[in-house]
Amino acid sequence: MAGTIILRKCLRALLTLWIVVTLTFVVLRSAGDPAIIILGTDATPAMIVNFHHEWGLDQPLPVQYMRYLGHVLHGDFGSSFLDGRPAVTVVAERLPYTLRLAGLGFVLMLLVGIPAGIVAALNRGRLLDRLVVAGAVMGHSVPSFFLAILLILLFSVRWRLLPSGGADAPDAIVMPALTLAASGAGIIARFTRVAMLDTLRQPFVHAVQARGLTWRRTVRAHVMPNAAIPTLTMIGLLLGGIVAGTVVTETVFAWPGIGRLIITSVARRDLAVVQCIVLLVASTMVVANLTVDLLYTVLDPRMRAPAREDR
Amino acid sequence: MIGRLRRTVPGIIMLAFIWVALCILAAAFAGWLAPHFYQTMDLRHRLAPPVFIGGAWDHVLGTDEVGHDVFSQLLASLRVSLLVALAASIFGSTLGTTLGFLAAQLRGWFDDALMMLVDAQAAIPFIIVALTVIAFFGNSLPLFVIVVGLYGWQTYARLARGMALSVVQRGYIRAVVALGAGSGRVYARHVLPNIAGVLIVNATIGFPEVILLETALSFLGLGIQPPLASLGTMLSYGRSYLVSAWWIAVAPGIVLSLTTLAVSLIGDWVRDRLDPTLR
Repeated sequence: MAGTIILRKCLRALLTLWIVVTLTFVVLRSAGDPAIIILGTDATPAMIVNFHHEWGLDQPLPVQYMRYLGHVLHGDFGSSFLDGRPAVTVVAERLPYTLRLAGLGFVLMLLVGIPAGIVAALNRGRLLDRLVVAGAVMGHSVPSFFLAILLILLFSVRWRLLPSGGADAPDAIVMPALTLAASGAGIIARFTRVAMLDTLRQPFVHAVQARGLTWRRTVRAHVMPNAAIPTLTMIGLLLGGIVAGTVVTETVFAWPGIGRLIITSVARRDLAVVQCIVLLVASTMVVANLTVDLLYTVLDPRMRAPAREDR
Repeated sequence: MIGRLRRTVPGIIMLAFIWVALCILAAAFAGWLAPHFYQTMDLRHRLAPPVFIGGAWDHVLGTDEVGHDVFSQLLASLRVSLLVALAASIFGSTLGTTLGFLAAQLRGWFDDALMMLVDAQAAIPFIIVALTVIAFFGNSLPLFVIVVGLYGWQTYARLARGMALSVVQRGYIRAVVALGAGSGRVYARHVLPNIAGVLIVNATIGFPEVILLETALSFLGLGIQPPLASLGTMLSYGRSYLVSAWWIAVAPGIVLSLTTLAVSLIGDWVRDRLDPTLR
């Protein structure tokens, strides 16, 4: 039974990816002629025809689409219009920077958000709880680009402690990672708090307590695992927020990652690179959500049963 | 009356309402309230500091590199940001609700296709979609509003579809259908008023996100274009003057943060009041 559910989820993930690939193709190809952007408005008609021929843009759209799908399936995402290098190479060069930044931001987000949420729930209604909730709401409401500017203003301009941008200095990652983590940490903290409170209200908590378990043990062994399940789904969803956050954060801090690459590529209409990034982001998110889904079945035995009645 | 209000509305929510009201008034009467026209250059008072750190009352929040009055610019930017977010929210909720109703009425392939689109949109961060579309189709105000409005259409679609499916089963809807009302009339006159509360709450909760998307895109240079200014473009401009005139970036940043904070507090509060099960 579990096998068919997993298979169905995988198929659905593939279908989603195919839709994303197709929509990207449609948007990018129907949006004007890249030849004029790349070659400039001074380009002669012969140059434009040549360019079209070279990049296969003179074929009818369905033909281009089939060709494109074939290439994508073979791992060939085309070449950058700018320097002719494979788009994959251009993206791969920048990828380590983004992975480092997003990884650190993600870890920071969890390390701050989850304990804060748990502590707030266990101290419900007290000052600590209010502080956490207020901090979480602030973290979520202050836009990342303003937070980035405030950090630069304090740590770079005023106190001269940290570099305001670039990726050369080893401590240059601190401010971008903080910026990236702030909003997600707020959401995670609020969500963990609510999940914990919901679990604490369950009758089994009283049952376990009645059997004489210490409060500490009850929370650790019974409340936290049960609250982990909804929190896990939220974490999967927040991955998208991290990816979206890199676009703004990397731009503000001049961090040479994927987020900044997509802004520059979009501005230069470098189709192949844009497509490559969109596909990369979409597949990462689809895989992440699929992983969360599958983890869910491991963590919660109820999810293994066919869930048709729910619909 | 005021006593009752005080008992039912927590203080912080009152403050949030007051702030939002102030913002709406400031945006509505921006041209009248502003001490200077927002594009007037006062070259003799360039980079003047705000009044609370030694500036003159003539420029309450200081001036920028070419002597634009920061306070007047702030009002003009706030007006644009709020208007764009409002127009975008209206567009997105109308589109999403209509598609959701269509899916609930037609079912079959339309329903499947719509739900697949919803999944696909969830698979990619919307800001990437938005900046790609804007960069490739060229930036214009109507397109920008549409793109920002497309953010979140899927939550309206899912809500409208789900609730319509359950509402349509109820007796009074069947009675109206039996009396000969067409589907259009049923949805517009009977289903919509029933679920409007939930949709409005959803719009309130989504509104801060819409403002943030608009300002983020404007900040990246892919949104509002000069001569119009939004809070995002103001922040982006102020970023270049952090060393010499930090107030240019900090003023719109604070207004933006307080506004999103106030609206999300109100949204959460209204949601909890209307339907605690929605959490």
